[in-house]
Amino acid sequence: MVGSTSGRDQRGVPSDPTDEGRGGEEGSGEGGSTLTVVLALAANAAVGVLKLLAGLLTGSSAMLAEAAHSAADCTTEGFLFTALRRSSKKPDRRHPFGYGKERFFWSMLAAVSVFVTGAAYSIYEGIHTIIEQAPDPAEEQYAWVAYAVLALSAVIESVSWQQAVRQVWGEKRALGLSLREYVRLSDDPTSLSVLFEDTAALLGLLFAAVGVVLHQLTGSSLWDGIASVLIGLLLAGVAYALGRTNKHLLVGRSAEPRVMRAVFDHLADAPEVVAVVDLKSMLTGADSVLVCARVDFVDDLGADDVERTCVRLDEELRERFNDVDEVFVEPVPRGDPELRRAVLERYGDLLADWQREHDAAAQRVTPAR
Amino acid sequence: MTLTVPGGGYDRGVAEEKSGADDGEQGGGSTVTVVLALVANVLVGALKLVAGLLTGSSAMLAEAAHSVADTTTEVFLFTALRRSGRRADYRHPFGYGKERFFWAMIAAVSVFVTGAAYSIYEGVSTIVEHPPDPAEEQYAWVAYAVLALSAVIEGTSWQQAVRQVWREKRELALPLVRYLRLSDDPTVKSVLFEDTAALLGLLFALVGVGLHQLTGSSVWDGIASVMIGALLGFVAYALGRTNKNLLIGRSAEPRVMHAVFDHLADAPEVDTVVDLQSMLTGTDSVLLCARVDFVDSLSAADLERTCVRLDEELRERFTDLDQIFIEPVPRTDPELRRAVLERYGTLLATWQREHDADRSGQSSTHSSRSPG
Repeated sequence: MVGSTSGRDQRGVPSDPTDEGRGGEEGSGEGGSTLTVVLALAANAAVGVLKLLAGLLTGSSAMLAEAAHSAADCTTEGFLFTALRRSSKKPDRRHPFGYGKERFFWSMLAAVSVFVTGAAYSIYEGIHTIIEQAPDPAEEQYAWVAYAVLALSAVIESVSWQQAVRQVWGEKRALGLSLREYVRLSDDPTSLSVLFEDTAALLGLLFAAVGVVLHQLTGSSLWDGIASVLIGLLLAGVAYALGRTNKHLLVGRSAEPRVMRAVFDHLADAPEVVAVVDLKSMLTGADSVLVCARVDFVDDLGADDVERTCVRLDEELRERFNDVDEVFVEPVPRGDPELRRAVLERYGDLLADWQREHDAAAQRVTPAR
Repeated sequence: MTLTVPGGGYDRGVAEEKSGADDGEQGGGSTVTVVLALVANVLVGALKLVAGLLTGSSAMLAEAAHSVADTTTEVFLFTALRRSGRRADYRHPFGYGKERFFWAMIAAVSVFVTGAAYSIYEGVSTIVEHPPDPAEEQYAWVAYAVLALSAVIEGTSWQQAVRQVWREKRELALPLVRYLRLSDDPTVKSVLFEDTAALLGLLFALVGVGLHQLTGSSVWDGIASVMIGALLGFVAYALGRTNKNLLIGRSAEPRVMHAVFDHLADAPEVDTVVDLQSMLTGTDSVLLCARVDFVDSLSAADLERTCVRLDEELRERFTDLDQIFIEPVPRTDPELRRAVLERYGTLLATWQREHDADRSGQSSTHSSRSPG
């Protein structure tokens, strides 16, 4: 799920359909990810056994490559399952910001395993076939086995694929994002991994079918080998895409710009706040965001007022943005030169623009302020 | 309590001198270590491959795979060093320091897959098949020569890694095991582990080839391969686990945390330190988030100035601290107290009590607080 706020409330009215929905959705979303992963695991195990039998019987390299592909997918799901299970551990003194990133970590390993087991083996097997081109009568004889297995695999894989699509589409719609934006911004790599992997699986079956057909028609196992290599390349592409997403999440990606903007406005809206000087965030897990802000407070407040305000802002932010998990608001004078330099370096004029827009909007609503 | 006393042990070592003065040198040190390791592995790998093909020894081929794995590892580590220096931007406001952990992680996985899996595969197939190969016995002297030469080359790289680890360990005044557990620079550690494994691997290969020549059975060769593989698997696991903890967000060392706690609690404006969290966001880079109850008679403007001052003091004293956020909160907020208790147990309360006792014992409040 994308760390989200809803409607961009540039217009000053805090309307957050997504956020309101999120409280209830949270539980079902988690369950949804688990269901998606378990279904994918079952599908892959079944399909893998079928493909292996067919591959051994027919000796088709495309078929064996597909079996390797299924083995890779099963390992991936094993990792994803670990991801879901371990990321919910509570924060402790060794990891005070929690274990949310375990999800990114295991998803990363899943991507690597797709790459190594699936891509490397398929390409190796394909090249091997292309070079040797062993004429194997068994393969032609048992071609019907290959077709039957491919058809059956397609049916089983598409069940898992449908579940993944359903979940991703549901989340995407809830957040009002386009698919591409969702893929780029999602902070739940598990269902995304399953979606990518199942899509690759269906495409791989198509390649394998074409390879086997061309082999049967032309009598040359070259086609079979080419199909294997293509399946391998497809898997490598998937692994790269997943790896990149998870790398960003592990390194510490900021929350979505829309959320940042809404948090900024929320802080700036508080009557005790003069200016928001600095604002940083990091996704510390799926549905968990750390927000650190530096704020200039109205000078005539007392220390206890500021303390109460900080706690209130904490609570408000965590209530409004369900994904926000930890908030730190530090009071600083707006004019501190070193701080301003650091913010400029990191964000350019972004925060200054936001402050200006916010002030203009606030003036329009209540000219008194 | 020694920690806050100037010159007293740890925070001096870790945080003050180390990164401040050595920062550049240290990055440079890591780079030298990695580049030297890379060169050594390429040389050794070529030698082993030639010897393996000539003699057909599976232990020798396993060793060649080992060198390939090591070379890949060093490329990843080099990437780690190069990319982790990027400045923070709006997409990654806490910087790119964790890229170092990430690439070191990938390096560990590559050791595991290329090295361990291949060696074990090669070893098992030799044991199962054990084909009598006359070439191997004939060319055994090639294998010995290559192993000896490899040992010399690897030894050079190993020495550099050991030297760097020893120096850092001494600066931090930590015993070796603790240093290796707590280190936040996975690159040097990776090279050290890998080179140690390489030297042990050469020993295994030597014994394998020797026994093969003596007994005439290639089973020994296969067993050596499997052992090399197991060794690599273990190294990969150890490195992977460290990097996993770093990637997920490990806290700074307890000693630093305690010293920071005392520093904050020592400030005259501070009543109580309610919460203290930290995360290593890179090598020599720590994010610190504190929740503090300030003296109530201060004004908001005083509070703002105090926060900026504490920021600067802490970053000067503990140069690893990169970002600091101090949030003023009332000490009594029940939800907050519950969260702290869940995360830390009574640790912070104990620190506060110790600190208060110490302060009332000393009477002179600030004597213990002098930045660098």
